[in-house]
Amino acid sequence: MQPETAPTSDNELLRAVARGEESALAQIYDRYRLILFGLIVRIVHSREEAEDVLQEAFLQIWRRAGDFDESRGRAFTWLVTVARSRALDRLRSLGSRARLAEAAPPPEQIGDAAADAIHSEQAEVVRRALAQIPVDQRQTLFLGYFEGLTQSEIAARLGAPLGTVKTRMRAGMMKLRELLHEQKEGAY
Amino acid sequence: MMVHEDYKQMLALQALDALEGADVRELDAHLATCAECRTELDEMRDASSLMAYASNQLEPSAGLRSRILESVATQNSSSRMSAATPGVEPAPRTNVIPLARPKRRQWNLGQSFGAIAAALVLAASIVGLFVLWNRYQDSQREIARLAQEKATQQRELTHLSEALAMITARDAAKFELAGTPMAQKAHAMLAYDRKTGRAMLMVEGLPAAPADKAYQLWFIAGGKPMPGKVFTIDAEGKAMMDDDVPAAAREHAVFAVTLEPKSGVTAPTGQIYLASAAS
Repeated sequence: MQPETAPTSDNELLRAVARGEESALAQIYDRYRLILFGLIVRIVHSREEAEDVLQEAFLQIWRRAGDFDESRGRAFTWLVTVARSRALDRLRSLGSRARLAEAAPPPEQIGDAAADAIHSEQAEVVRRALAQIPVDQRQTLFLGYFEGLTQSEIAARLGAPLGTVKTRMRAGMMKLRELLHEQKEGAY
Repeated sequence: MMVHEDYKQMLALQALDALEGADVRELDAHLATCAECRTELDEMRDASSLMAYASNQLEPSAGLRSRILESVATQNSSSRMSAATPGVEPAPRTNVIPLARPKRRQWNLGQSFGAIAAALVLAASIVGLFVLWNRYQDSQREIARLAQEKATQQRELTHLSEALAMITARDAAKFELAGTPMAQKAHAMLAYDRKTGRAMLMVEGLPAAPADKAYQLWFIAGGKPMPGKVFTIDAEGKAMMDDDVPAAAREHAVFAVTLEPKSGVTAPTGQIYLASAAS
């Protein structure tokens, strides 16, 4: 019982989870459930499957928090990576079923205002950055990120030469990184 | 022969896990010796993860948080259905009893017959409602049971297809774990994806564990054991479970199974029952 002294930074929370503090896991859930669930739904195209995947992801976070290395990247990246990996695993195991569901994206439902506000500024920064990336580059990034396709699978999907796909992905990622740097500097 | 700049070109693709085959292995080998590329890849991953913000933020069901915390508390991620049923049980008596309490006043014969008839109708209605309510509850329980059964079967099917895909994948790492003198008839196979670490363990022939114990998988790299999942076996000594091989143990590691307290431990304390040869 330490509600008054509960850790607040993501890194501190993950360290606490690694020590086995359930309250820290609950705080991570409260802080990131909206974005992680939104990401998973976008990947698996089903709220029901996504809830199962989110549960799996949090169990993995619980068991593997000790693997997180602060010197290698942000806690947010690690959390998102866990959720994305689990979602892509589920997408593959569902096979074509989930891909067929792409035609009917889930209804938009924004979470509660308080939690949403925490991330809205960051989301706005990213959306602005993505909007500035040329469509063909953005398309390759999204196919890789949200569908887990490899470079040659993306080439096959788009009917584009592999070399072109690689160039677009690299250019898109460079642009994303640059724009995020620039906008972060401007925003904060 | 690739040079540093060639590898740098691969980092953006690797941050999206879009690189394939030999490129992944060569880049991994380069990353082991190049701090600059490691740092750049970490930055790229930070940038790529921000794409999560491009999705709509969605609210999961209200009960999910408590299900996750319960699973964590019990270290048992299966069968949470029992927690879902109380919500559909408004106690039937509170619905029925307020309807069945007429006040008794002065009686005449006509009133008495009328009252008796009305009471009988009311009683019959109450009994009928009660029977219907019980059937409704039975149906709800049956639906919940079938849903749970379906979810379990789907999970098992998913496990099986994942195991099959893992075992047949060309570039999957596969290790045989042999029984130690503690379990000479036991053997197991661990297959995992070298890239993601996603692993599947299939075990046979382990002896039944005491009630307060369970088996636990270990990844031992550089002499350091890293804990895997805890698992239980069926009546035939078989088990199948998925896990994730930590990055540090994907290339050169020994895999082992020990008998531990049921909740699992962070460092092995029990006897080794299964072990792989050093890779």
